[in-house]
Amino acid sequence: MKSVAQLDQLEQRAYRRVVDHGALDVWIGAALVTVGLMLHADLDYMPAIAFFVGALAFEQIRRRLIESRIGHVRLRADRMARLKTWRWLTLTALIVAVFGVVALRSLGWIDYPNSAGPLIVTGCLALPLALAGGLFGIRRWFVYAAVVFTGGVCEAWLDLAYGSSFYFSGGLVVSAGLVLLVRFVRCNPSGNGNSDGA
Amino acid sequence: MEIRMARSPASTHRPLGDVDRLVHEPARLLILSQLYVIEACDFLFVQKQTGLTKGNLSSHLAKLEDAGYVEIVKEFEGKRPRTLLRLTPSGREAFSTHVASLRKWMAGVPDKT
Repeated sequence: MKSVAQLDQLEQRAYRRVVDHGALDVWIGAALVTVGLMLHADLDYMPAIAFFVGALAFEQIRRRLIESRIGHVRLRADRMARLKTWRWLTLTALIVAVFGVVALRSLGWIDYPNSAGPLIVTGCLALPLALAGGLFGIRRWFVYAAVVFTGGVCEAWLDLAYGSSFYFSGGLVVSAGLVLLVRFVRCNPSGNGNSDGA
Repeated sequence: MEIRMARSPASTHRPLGDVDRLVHEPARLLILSQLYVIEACDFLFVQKQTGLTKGNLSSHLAKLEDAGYVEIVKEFEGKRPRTLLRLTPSGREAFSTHVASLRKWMAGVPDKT
């Protein structure tokens, strides 16, 4: 039996179990790859499709892979309210960023070979990512934001194909997320699926 | 040679006064502290967080439910049954009172020198 930890640590641990399992990282990484596809292959509708498909997939993963292993938890009302606010704030920032990129592109401000284009695009996406990392308390998302922006710098500097840095940064984030998810699955073996103890 | 009988650990313990022994039991204290920091959760979550076996957890929960400290609500998510556990206001009160009692009890313990 585990020892009784401090209450705030217990609350923090419960919170981290709910949000920090790698599935969100996989979703973020996949979103970055689709942004790369959008820029590279001129598919402006791609992020919208990817968002809905990603949301549906994430909900299924959360229910089947995560809740079946760690159980269902409703966090404290104040924490849930904060979580909801953060979620909407991050989502709004992300939507503004993606549609901002599309709008800037249609205005011709960030079209290739404009060297500032990759910096603007990666900056627009790195900022909400860093914001989400700070709000959700997941520090490695700061690293992801730095990787995304560094990819943009490299893309501009090395004259790489437009949007190609997102394949690299998105792939890296997906890989990190998968590693975390696999570790989570290994550390939390599934029970018999009966979560009510009956 | 004088043979001294070892004193049982219980006899060396001072009475805990107003400490609620139902709450004080380590496993139940662990369950209550877990439920205290969240709104509600299912059986599996408490089991994973505390490391208690299913039978052990069930028996402790039954005692806590009988005392009116924990509320056990059965509900369905789609077709799947789910048992939600949550602290009742009296359970929350009992836990806070217990923590306060322990703090008071420990206040007289000198710091490690």
